[in-house]
Amino acid sequence: MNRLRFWIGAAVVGLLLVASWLYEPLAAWEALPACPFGPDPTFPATDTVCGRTLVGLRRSVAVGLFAGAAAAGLALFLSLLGRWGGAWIDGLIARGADLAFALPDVLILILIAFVVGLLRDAHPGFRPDALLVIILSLTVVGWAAPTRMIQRRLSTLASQDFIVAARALGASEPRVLLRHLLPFAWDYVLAIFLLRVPATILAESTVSFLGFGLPPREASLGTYLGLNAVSLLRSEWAVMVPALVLLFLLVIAFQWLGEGLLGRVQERRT
Amino acid sequence: MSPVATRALKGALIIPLTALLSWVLVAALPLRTEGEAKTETLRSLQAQLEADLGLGQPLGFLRPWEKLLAAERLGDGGRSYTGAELMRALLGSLRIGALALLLSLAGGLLYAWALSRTAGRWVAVGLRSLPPLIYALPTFVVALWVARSTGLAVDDTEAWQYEPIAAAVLALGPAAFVGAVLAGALEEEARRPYLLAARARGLSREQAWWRHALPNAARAVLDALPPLATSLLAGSFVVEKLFHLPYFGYLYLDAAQHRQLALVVVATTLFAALLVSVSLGTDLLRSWWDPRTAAAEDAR
Repeated sequence: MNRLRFWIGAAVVGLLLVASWLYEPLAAWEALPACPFGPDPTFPATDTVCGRTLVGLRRSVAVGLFAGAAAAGLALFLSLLGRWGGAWIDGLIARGADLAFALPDVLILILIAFVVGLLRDAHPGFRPDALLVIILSLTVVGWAAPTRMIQRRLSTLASQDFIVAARALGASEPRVLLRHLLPFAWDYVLAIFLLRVPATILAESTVSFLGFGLPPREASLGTYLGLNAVSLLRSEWAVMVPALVLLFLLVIAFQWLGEGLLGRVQERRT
Repeated sequence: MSPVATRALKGALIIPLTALLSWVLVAALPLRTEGEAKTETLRSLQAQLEADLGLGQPLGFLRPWEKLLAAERLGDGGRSYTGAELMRALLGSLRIGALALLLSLAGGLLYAWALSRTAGRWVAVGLRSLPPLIYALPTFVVALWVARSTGLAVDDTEAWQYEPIAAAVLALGPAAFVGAVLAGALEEEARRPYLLAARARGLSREQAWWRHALPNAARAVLDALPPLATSLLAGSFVVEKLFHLPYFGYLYLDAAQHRQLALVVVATTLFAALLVSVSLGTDLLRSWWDPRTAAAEDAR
């Protein structure tokens, strides 16, 4: 079941990405029929609903993958640092993660967008890339839960016989961490990263929908939905449905991918 | 000092810390743009902002709070609020949040009960796949769809009538979360010998479920209350914006969009206070509900 979920998730993500990468060149060569959902309401002269949603999907995936990877990487680094630094540093990192985990993602993301907006207004030369800002913001909010999970995993692994044996044979702490603990934690970290991706995509789409995310010209699925929310209230389904369906499929597919992999890791452990 | 009191004290420290940190962050930001500094009106707005934040004054970080306690207005123009108005907005959000919490607990309980009563394999598979499907639906999508179905215009001035609908929308994701947590905990309880003993002594399946399994499994839901509150708070921004409910989440978004710095500081601190209170309430509730937890903490 876990293997099936993993492969279905991987296939759906792959298909969506291929469609989003191929759409623009194929549309440019006029190899595709006209978009059945019509022109984009925000930029009717230059874009169609199909183009905007598929490119938006690519941006949402990019944000999810990069922010998910950065959050999982930061979490792994902090967890290793905690184990290397001893109980006090490990505890400090754990308390910091608990504190960050207690605040809602959306609240912190709005605060960061607010601060970046003020800096941008005050310094005309300060023009950070919107995609980079949102990826960094999501990394800032996304490290806490993975850190706690990886800390627990490392702690479980550290009590196993082979680690005790490595220490007894005189292995230094960095060697124990990097040569003995880390190889057994990789698949777990990968599963956490894959589970972080849908959460990141949802958080990004929510802040973008609220107007604190990517700008209209570089819309993700969330920005697109936020820009066109009134269309749904006017029953203009064709404008909204493709983006809604794509967002739903994307999140479900990444969830299955992550849960499938995590399930396999847990099966192997037991 | 008891462990709960120690945790309460540690938690309470987060509130002044948030107030101070958010004030330091905002005070360190540039408050003017080059263009803004040129006009007289914007210069007066600038002065208003500096007065609200107490910049350059000793213990300036207390200034926004002093203004609120003295019933002075915080913020500028049509977007200023008194302490009483802020409290009314906060109470509005709390009303929706409390209703959403009740609905999500009831929904989660219903889901777990339905799953425990399901005999058919495929029905169970269908029920189990419900929470992940609901997680994949962002709150704003559900809120948009409901706003459209109920014919609610975004600028509807009678939007307060939609509070129960807003709470129901807000409760959907958390209900799926509670349901999944409760169902998992009940499955674990079902394997324990005390439940078999209860059945052997003549209790029906239903009686054993309600009297024995549920109270024990409910501990897992108590543990899930703080993340649940966080999730409800995150959702409140969306539903209050979409249903045009002029409460705290809406006010926060408006303050952030229109650079109401002092209001952002005050609102962030109040949000932190709210989450700390929920966490403390959960600790107390857990100690009362399950004396084993308190005993284990005392022993530690």
